[in-house]
Amino acid sequence: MNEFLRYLLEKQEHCIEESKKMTEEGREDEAIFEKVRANIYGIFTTFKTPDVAAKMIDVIPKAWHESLAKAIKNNDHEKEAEERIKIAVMEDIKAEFAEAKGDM
Amino acid sequence: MNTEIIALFKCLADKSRLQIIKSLAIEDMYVERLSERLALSPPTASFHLKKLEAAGIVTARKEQYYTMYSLNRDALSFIVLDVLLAEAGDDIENDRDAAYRQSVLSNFIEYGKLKTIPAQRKKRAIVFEEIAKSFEHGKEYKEREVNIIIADFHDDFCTIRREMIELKLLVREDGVYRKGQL
Repeated sequence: MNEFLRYLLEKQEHCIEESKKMTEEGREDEAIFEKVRANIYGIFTTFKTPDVAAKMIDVIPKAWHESLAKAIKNNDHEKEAEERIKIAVMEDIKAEFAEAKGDM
Repeated sequence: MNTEIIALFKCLADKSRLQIIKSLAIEDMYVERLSERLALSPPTASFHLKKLEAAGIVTARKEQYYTMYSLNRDALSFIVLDVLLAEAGDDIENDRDAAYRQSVLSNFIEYGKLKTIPAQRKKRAIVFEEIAKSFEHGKEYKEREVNIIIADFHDDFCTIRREMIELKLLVREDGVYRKGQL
Protein backbone atom coordinates (compact mmCIF):
# COMPACT_ATOMS: atom_id res chain seq x y z
CA MET A 1 0.00 0.00 0.00
CA ASN A 2 2.95 2.31 0.60
CA GLU A 3 3.83 1.78 -3.04
CA PHE A 4 0.33 2.96 -4.02
CA LEU A 5 0.62 6.06 -1.84
CA ARG A 6 4.04 6.82 -3.32
CA TYR A 7 2.57 6.48 -6.80
CA LEU A 8 -0.24 8.91 -5.95
CA LEU A 9 2.12 11.47 -4.46
CA GLU A 10 4.47 11.26 -7.44
CA LYS A 11 1.61 11.69 -9.88
CA GLN A 12 0.23 14.60 -7.88
CA GLU A 13 3.61 16.28 -7.78
CA HIS A 14 4.12 15.73 -11.51
CA CYS A 15 0.73 17.30 -12.32
CA ILE A 16 1.46 20.31 -10.11
CA GLU A 17 4.80 20.80 -11.87
CA GLU A 18 3.17 20.48 -15.29
CA SER A 19 0.51 22.96 -14.25
CA LYS A 20 3.14 25.52 -13.22
CA LYS A 21 4.99 24.99 -16.47
CA MET A 22 1.85 25.46 -18.52
CA THR A 23 0.91 28.63 -16.67
CA GLU A 24 4.35 30.04 -17.44
CA GLU A 25 3.90 29.09 -21.08
CA GLY A 26 0.53 30.86 -21.24
CA ARG A 27 -1.52 27.66 -21.55
CA GLU A 28 -3.98 28.51 -18.81
CA ASP A 29 -6.75 26.03 -19.60
CA GLU A 30 -4.33 23.12 -19.78
CA ALA A 31 -2.75 24.31 -16.52
CA ILE A 32 -6.19 24.13 -14.89
CA PHE A 33 -6.68 20.61 -16.26
CA GLU A 34 -3.37 19.57 -14.67
CA LYS A 35 -4.54 21.07 -11.36
CA VAL A 36 -7.73 19.03 -11.65
CA ARG A 37 -5.62 15.88 -12.19
CA ALA A 38 -3.42 16.77 -9.20
CA ASN A 39 -6.51 17.22 -7.01
CA ILE A 40 -7.88 13.80 -7.85
CA TYR A 41 -4.58 12.09 -7.05
CA GLY A 42 -4.47 14.22 -3.89
CA ILE A 43 -7.91 13.07 -2.74
CA PHE A 44 -6.74 9.45 -2.69
CA THR A 45 -3.69 10.23 -0.59
CA THR A 46 -6.04 11.21 2.24
CA PHE A 47 -7.81 7.86 2.60
CA LYS A 48 -6.46 6.12 5.64
CA THR A 49 -7.18 2.50 4.79
CA PRO A 50 -7.30 0.43 1.58
CA ASP A 51 -10.94 -0.41 2.31
CA VAL A 52 -11.97 3.24 2.27
CA ALA A 53 -9.97 3.83 -0.93
CA ALA A 54 -11.57 0.78 -2.59
CA LYS A 55 -15.06 2.00 -1.70
CA MET A 56 -14.37 5.54 -2.88
CA ILE A 57 -13.02 4.37 -6.24
CA ASP A 58 -16.56 3.30 -7.10
CA VAL A 59 -18.49 5.98 -5.25
CA ILE A 60 -16.71 9.17 -6.29
CA PRO A 61 -16.93 8.93 -10.11
CA LYS A 62 -20.70 8.42 -10.15
CA ALA A 63 -21.34 12.15 -9.81
CA TRP A 64 -18.71 12.86 -12.49
CA HIS A 65 -20.44 10.58 -14.98
CA GLU A 66 -23.74 12.34 -14.28
CA SER A 67 -22.08 15.73 -14.63
CA LEU A 68 -20.40 14.63 -17.89
CA ALA A 69 -23.74 13.54 -19.37
CA LYS A 70 -25.24 16.91 -18.41
CA ALA A 71 -22.29 18.81 -19.90
CA ILE A 72 -22.52 16.92 -23.21
CA LYS A 73 -26.26 17.49 -23.36
CA ASN A 74 -25.77 21.21 -22.79
CA ASN A 75 -22.73 21.65 -25.07
CA ASP A 76 -20.63 22.75 -22.11
CA HIS A 77 -17.22 21.91 -23.57
CA GLU A 78 -15.20 23.15 -20.61
CA LYS A 79 -17.12 21.07 -18.10
CA GLU A 80 -17.09 18.10 -20.47
CA ALA A 81 -13.30 18.23 -20.77
CA GLU A 82 -12.94 18.56 -16.99
CA GLU A 83 -15.22 15.62 -16.22
CA ARG A 84 -13.48 13.45 -18.83
CA ILE A 85 -10.12 14.25 -17.22
CA LYS A 86 -11.41 13.35 -13.76
CA ILE A 87 -12.83 10.05 -15.01
CA ALA A 88 -9.60 9.20 -16.89
CA VAL A 89 -7.51 9.90 -13.77
CA MET A 90 -9.83 7.72 -11.74
CA GLU A 91 -9.39 4.88 -14.24
CA ASP A 92 -5.64 5.28 -13.86
CA ILE A 93 -5.93 5.20 -10.06
CA LYS A 94 -8.23 2.19 -10.25
CA ALA A 95 -5.72 0.21 -12.34
CA GLU A 96 -2.85 1.13 -10.04
CA PHE A 97 -4.90 0.29 -6.95
CA ALA A 98 -5.80 -3.14 -8.35
CA GLU A 99 -2.11 -3.78 -8.97
CA ALA A 100 -1.16 -2.57 -5.47
CA LYS A 101 -3.85 -4.77 -3.93
CA GLY A 102 -2.41 -7.76 -5.73
CA ASP A 103 0.98 -7.00 -4.20
CA MET A 104 -0.36 -6.64 -0.66
CA MET B 1 -15.70 47.54 -23.00
CA ASN B 2 -17.96 44.95 -24.55
CA THR B 3 -18.05 41.78 -22.43
CA GLU B 4 -18.11 39.59 -25.55
CA ILE B 5 -14.88 41.16 -26.82
CA ILE B 6 -13.20 40.50 -23.47
CA ALA B 7 -14.37 36.88 -23.55
CA LEU B 8 -13.04 36.57 -27.07
CA PHE B 9 -9.64 37.91 -26.14
CA LYS B 10 -9.55 35.58 -23.14
CA CYS B 11 -10.14 32.77 -25.60
CA LEU B 12 -7.28 34.02 -27.76
CA ALA B 13 -4.92 34.54 -24.81
CA ASP B 14 -3.70 30.97 -24.77
CA LYS B 15 -0.50 29.68 -26.34
CA SER B 16 -2.00 26.40 -27.57
CA ARG B 17 -4.94 28.15 -29.17
CA LEU B 18 -2.66 30.69 -30.86
CA GLN B 19 -0.61 27.79 -32.22
CA ILE B 20 -3.79 26.22 -33.55
CA ILE B 21 -4.74 29.50 -35.24
CA LYS B 22 -1.26 29.72 -36.80
CA SER B 23 -1.56 26.18 -38.11
CA LEU B 24 -5.03 26.77 -39.50
CA ALA B 25 -3.80 29.95 -41.17
CA ILE B 26 -1.59 27.71 -43.32
CA GLU B 27 -4.17 25.03 -44.12
CA ASP B 28 -7.41 23.48 -42.91
CA MET B 29 -6.86 20.55 -40.58
CA TYR B 30 -8.64 17.86 -38.63
CA VAL B 31 -8.14 17.22 -34.90
CA GLU B 32 -5.67 14.32 -35.14
CA ARG B 33 -3.41 16.17 -37.58
CA LEU B 34 -3.41 19.28 -35.40
CA SER B 35 -2.73 17.33 -32.23
CA GLU B 36 0.18 15.57 -33.89
CA ARG B 37 1.64 18.78 -35.23
CA LEU B 38 1.31 20.67 -31.94
CA ALA B 39 2.11 17.75 -29.60
CA LEU B 40 -1.26 18.04 -27.85
CA SER B 41 -3.44 15.08 -26.95
CA PRO B 42 -6.44 14.78 -29.33
CA PRO B 43 -8.96 15.54 -26.52
CA THR B 44 -6.99 18.69 -25.62
CA ALA B 45 -6.78 19.81 -29.26
CA SER B 46 -10.48 19.10 -29.62
CA PHE B 47 -11.25 21.12 -26.49
CA HIS B 48 -9.33 24.15 -27.82
CA LEU B 49 -10.98 23.86 -31.24
CA LYS B 50 -14.45 23.78 -29.69
CA LYS B 51 -13.59 26.89 -27.68
CA LEU B 52 -12.32 28.66 -30.78
CA GLU B 53 -15.41 27.55 -32.67
CA ALA B 54 -17.70 28.90 -29.94
CA ALA B 55 -15.87 32.23 -30.20
CA GLY B 56 -16.41 32.23 -33.96
CA ILE B 57 -12.70 32.11 -34.74
CA VAL B 58 -12.78 28.73 -36.45
CA THR B 59 -15.47 26.84 -38.32
CA ALA B 60 -15.96 23.08 -38.56
CA ARG B 61 -17.22 20.99 -41.45
CA LYS B 62 -17.66 17.24 -41.92
CA GLU B 63 -15.44 15.61 -44.51
CA GLN B 64 -15.92 11.86 -44.82
CA TYR B 65 -14.80 10.49 -41.43
CA TYR B 66 -13.21 13.67 -40.18
CA THR B 67 -14.28 17.04 -38.88
CA MET B 68 -12.22 19.58 -40.73
CA TYR B 69 -11.46 22.92 -39.08
CA SER B 70 -10.79 26.20 -40.89
CA LEU B 71 -9.86 29.65 -39.75
CA ASN B 72 -12.68 32.17 -39.96
CA ARG B 73 -10.58 34.99 -41.41
CA ASP B 74 -13.53 37.36 -41.80
CA ALA B 75 -14.46 37.03 -38.14
CA LEU B 76 -10.89 37.74 -37.06
CA SER B 77 -10.78 40.93 -39.14
CA PHE B 78 -14.09 42.07 -37.66
CA ILE B 79 -12.87 41.39 -34.14
CA VAL B 80 -9.97 43.80 -34.54
CA LEU B 81 -12.30 46.37 -36.04
CA ASP B 82 -14.77 45.92 -33.16
CA VAL B 83 -12.05 46.56 -30.62
CA LEU B 84 -10.81 49.64 -32.43
CA LEU B 85 -14.32 51.05 -32.56
CA ALA B 86 -15.27 50.15 -28.99
CA GLU B 87 -15.44 53.07 -26.59
CA ALA B 88 -12.83 52.03 -24.06
CA GLY B 89 -13.69 52.45 -20.38
CA ASP B 90 -17.08 53.93 -21.20
CA ASP B 91 -18.89 52.40 -18.29
CA ILE B 92 -16.74 50.70 -15.71
CA GLU B 93 -19.51 50.54 -13.13
CA ASN B 94 -21.88 48.83 -15.55
CA ASP B 95 -19.16 46.35 -16.46
CA ARG B 96 -18.55 45.55 -12.78
CA ASP B 97 -22.26 45.16 -12.16
CA ALA B 98 -22.59 42.89 -15.19
CA ALA B 99 -19.64 40.79 -14.04
CA TYR B 100 -21.16 40.44 -10.54
CA ARG B 101 -24.54 39.45 -11.97
CA GLN B 102 -22.88 36.95 -14.26
CA SER B 103 -20.96 35.38 -11.39
CA VAL B 104 -24.13 35.08 -9.28
CA LEU B 105 -26.02 33.53 -12.19
CA SER B 106 -23.30 31.02 -12.96
CA ASN B 107 -23.05 30.08 -9.28
CA PHE B 108 -26.76 29.47 -8.88
CA ILE B 109 -28.05 28.51 -12.31
CA GLU B 110 -26.67 25.47 -14.09
CA TYR B 111 -27.94 24.53 -17.53
CA GLY B 112 -31.08 26.59 -17.01
CA LYS B 113 -31.92 25.10 -13.59
CA LEU B 114 -31.71 26.96 -10.30
CA LYS B 115 -29.48 24.83 -8.05
CA THR B 116 -30.63 26.47 -4.80
CA ILE B 117 -32.50 29.62 -3.89
CA PRO B 118 -29.83 32.14 -2.77
CA ALA B 119 -29.97 33.14 0.88
CA GLN B 120 -28.88 36.74 0.23
CA ARG B 121 -31.65 39.07 -0.89
CA LYS B 122 -29.46 40.81 -3.47
CA LYS B 123 -28.52 37.51 -5.09
CA ARG B 124 -32.10 36.27 -4.97
CA ALA B 125 -33.19 39.40 -6.85
CA ILE B 126 -30.61 38.77 -9.58
CA VAL B 127 -31.68 35.16 -9.96
CA PHE B 128 -35.38 36.02 -9.99
CA GLU B 129 -34.78 38.77 -12.56
CA GLU B 130 -33.27 36.08 -14.75
CA ILE B 131 -36.36 33.91 -14.26
CA ALA B 132 -38.54 36.92 -15.08
CA LYS B 133 -36.98 36.96 -18.57
CA SER B 134 -39.08 33.88 -19.34
CA PHE B 135 -42.23 36.01 -19.08
CA GLU B 136 -43.45 38.20 -21.92
CA HIS B 137 -44.31 41.85 -21.38
CA GLY B 138 -48.02 42.60 -21.67
CA LYS B 139 -49.07 38.95 -21.66
CA GLU B 140 -51.53 37.69 -19.05
CA TYR B 141 -50.71 34.47 -17.22
CA LYS B 142 -52.87 32.21 -15.06
CA GLU B 143 -51.30 31.11 -11.78
CA ARG B 144 -50.84 27.60 -13.18
CA GLU B 145 -48.90 28.98 -16.16
CA VAL B 146 -46.71 31.05 -13.85
CA ASN B 147 -46.01 27.99 -11.73
CA ILE B 148 -45.07 25.91 -14.78
CA ILE B 149 -42.62 28.55 -16.02
CA ILE B 150 -40.99 28.91 -12.59
CA ALA B 151 -40.94 25.14 -12.04
CA ASP B 152 -38.71 24.89 -15.11
CA PHE B 153 -36.08 26.57 -12.94
CA HIS B 154 -36.87 25.22 -9.46
CA ASP B 155 -39.42 22.98 -7.74
CA ASP B 156 -40.27 25.54 -5.06
CA PHE B 157 -42.32 27.69 -7.43
CA CYS B 158 -44.61 29.01 -4.66
CA THR B 159 -41.77 30.72 -2.76
CA ILE B 160 -40.26 32.09 -5.95
CA ARG B 161 -43.61 33.32 -7.29
CA ARG B 162 -44.34 35.15 -4.02
CA GLU B 163 -40.93 36.80 -3.96
CA MET B 164 -41.17 37.78 -7.61
CA ILE B 165 -44.38 39.61 -6.74
CA GLU B 166 -42.69 41.31 -3.77
CA LEU B 167 -39.86 42.39 -6.05
CA LYS B 168 -42.45 43.63 -8.57
CA LEU B 169 -41.01 41.34 -11.22
CA LEU B 170 -44.53 39.95 -11.48
CA VAL B 171 -47.78 41.80 -10.85
CA ARG B 172 -50.95 40.02 -9.70
CA GLU B 173 -54.35 41.59 -10.31
CA ASP B 174 -57.67 39.77 -10.01
CA GLY B 175 -55.94 36.41 -10.06
CA VAL B 176 -54.11 37.25 -13.28
CA TYR B 177 -50.34 37.69 -13.48
CA ARG B 178 -48.34 40.01 -15.70
CA LYS B 179 -44.65 40.73 -15.99
CA GLY B 180 -43.70 43.79 -13.94
CA GLN B 181 -42.35 46.92 -15.55
CA LEU B 182 -39.02 46.89 -13.65
